[in-house]
Amino acid sequence: MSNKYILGLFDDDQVLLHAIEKIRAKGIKIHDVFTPFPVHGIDEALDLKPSRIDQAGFFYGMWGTCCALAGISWVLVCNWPQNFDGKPHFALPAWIPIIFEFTVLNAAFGMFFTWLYRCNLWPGNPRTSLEPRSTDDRFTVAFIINNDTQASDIESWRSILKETGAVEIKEAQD
Amino acid sequence: MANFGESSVRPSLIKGDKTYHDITEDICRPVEKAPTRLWYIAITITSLTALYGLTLLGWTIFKGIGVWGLNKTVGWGWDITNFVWWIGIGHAGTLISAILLLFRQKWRTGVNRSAEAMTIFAVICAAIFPLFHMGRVWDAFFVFPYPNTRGPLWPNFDSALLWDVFAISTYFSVSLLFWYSGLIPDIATLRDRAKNKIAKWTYGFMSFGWTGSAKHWQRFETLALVLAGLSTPLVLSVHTIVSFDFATSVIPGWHTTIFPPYFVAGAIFSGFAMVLTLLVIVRKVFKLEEYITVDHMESMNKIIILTGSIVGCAYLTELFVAWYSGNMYEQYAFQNRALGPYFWAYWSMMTCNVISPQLFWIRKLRRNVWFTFFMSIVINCGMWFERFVIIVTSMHRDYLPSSWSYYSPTYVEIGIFLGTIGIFLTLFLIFAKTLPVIAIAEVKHILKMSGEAQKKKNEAAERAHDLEHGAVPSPAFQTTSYKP
Repeated sequence: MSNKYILGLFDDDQVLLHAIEKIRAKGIKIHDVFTPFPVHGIDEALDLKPSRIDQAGFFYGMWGTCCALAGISWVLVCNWPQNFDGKPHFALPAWIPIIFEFTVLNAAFGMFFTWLYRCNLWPGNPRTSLEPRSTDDRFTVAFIINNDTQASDIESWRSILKETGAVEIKEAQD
Repeated sequence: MANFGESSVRPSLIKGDKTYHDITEDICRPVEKAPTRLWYIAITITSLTALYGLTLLGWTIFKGIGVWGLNKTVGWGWDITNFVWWIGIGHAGTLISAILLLFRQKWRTGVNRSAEAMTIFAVICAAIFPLFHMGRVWDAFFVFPYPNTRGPLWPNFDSALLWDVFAISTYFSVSLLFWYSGLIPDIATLRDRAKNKIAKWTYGFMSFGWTGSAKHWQRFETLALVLAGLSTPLVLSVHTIVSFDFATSVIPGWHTTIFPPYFVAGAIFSGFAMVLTLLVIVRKVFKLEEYITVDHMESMNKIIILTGSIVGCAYLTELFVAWYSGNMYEQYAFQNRALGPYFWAYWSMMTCNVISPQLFWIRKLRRNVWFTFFMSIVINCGMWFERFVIIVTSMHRDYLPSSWSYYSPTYVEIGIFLGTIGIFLTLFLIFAKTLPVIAIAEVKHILKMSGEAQKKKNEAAERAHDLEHGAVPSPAFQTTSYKP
């Protein structure tokens, strides 16, 4: 699946933010914005909904807590009860360290793999940057060209990019 | 003009008039250039040392633990000393990247990447020792709870040693995730710059297809923040649990409630020392002095004074409590540490850990690169002696005088220890040559807040603004740089 794009390259994050606001105010749809580092304020400018990875992390963590507690109590109370230092079989305080570690382990791995899955990141993924300098010092606004795109749309994209301070406007294909 | 919310009295963290592109160039250059002769010499020495250590580990498996100097009285010697020493060193990375992220300490961006890498390598070295101390290393997986045909026989979840298994494996894998998730955008930078096919393919494979899309960055930042929030209690828990290995026992000198905070402070102390040892060399060899500045080193030296003083307080508290308890075994354990046959270890520990870091109260010394390097080595040695003192002096004279003994290591134990240093340095050298040693994206992120040139521009703009609006700038705001 190959798409064509019009890319507007900016050399400053503040100029980029103003540009995004102006483009969106005109009702033009931006396909995506690529930046070399997380630019603060871009979420508001693009109206991105907050990420829910943190909430997912909470549930992964809770899952870890429950698994550890259930697993240890099953082993030491039901499956193979033993007398360790005269402690009761259900020795909850002694289990806190492992329950805690297992909670952190589950939350961290769960969130990491959710992040990979949601961003479609995986080892060996052949996807690269549309503009190689967007991982260096260029802030790239991308418009996608599809079947509904008119020649006049492309013209208006080019003119607004120029107007808002893009240092370079180019076409790209993925 | 926006000043990005940072006070002008703070020292700038990126020296020189840098652009975003300069940052990419400066940090990628050492990775993209062919290795120098110095690098080849260094890696030859370290990998030969590693090989020597691995050979002796093989010898240990072949002959058994008897080739070590341990005896019936002293069952833990250099092995567990080295284990605790390496684990302690492995605390700085996650401390820098997690706790300092939560505290919004921007100077961490210059040092976090290499500190995290160091953490991972140190934990690998640490894991070797308890693993081989088990004796039958091929049965090491028995410590994990899994359904088996031996009953099933489960490990003892009430035991501090099993807590340690969970703590260290969790710490290792979570640190690895944290490190790698931060590396993905920087590997993408290397991929987009790569000239030759092999490098392009390799970095492309490792970058997971990262493009720097706004939504991906947003998720990345949420992930980093929550991972930092999780890693903060995690890093504190790891050395707490290591200290439980001792504190839950009944040995005088070990079973004290002060152990968890005392061990955690000691771990941070030694971890920062090792970070400084490596970074003083890295910044010089890779010409990264504008990113890992003297101010960065001063910040770390301040943490060293703090944690060194906590460790010193803990030593004195132990002595006081031994006296105050009125327990003769406890009192003897401490008297024996300072005046017994291992007095040299005790006083080396005291000198290196308590007295020498206090020199960092002097600003000139704190900001002197070579003095910092020298002190970092002194502290590394001191913290090794601390673990040796705690472990060996508490055991070599136990309750029954007829079984008192003296422990000294054999060449096998010494060789394995040297070998782990070789493994550690080899891994670090490979890392420094193949991956960016400074987090590129994070440094770019703070450029406008903390870059030297930008700071000056912001100040000029503020002054112009004040004059225009008739406000008289107060003298306190006229200083351009911080000079106490």
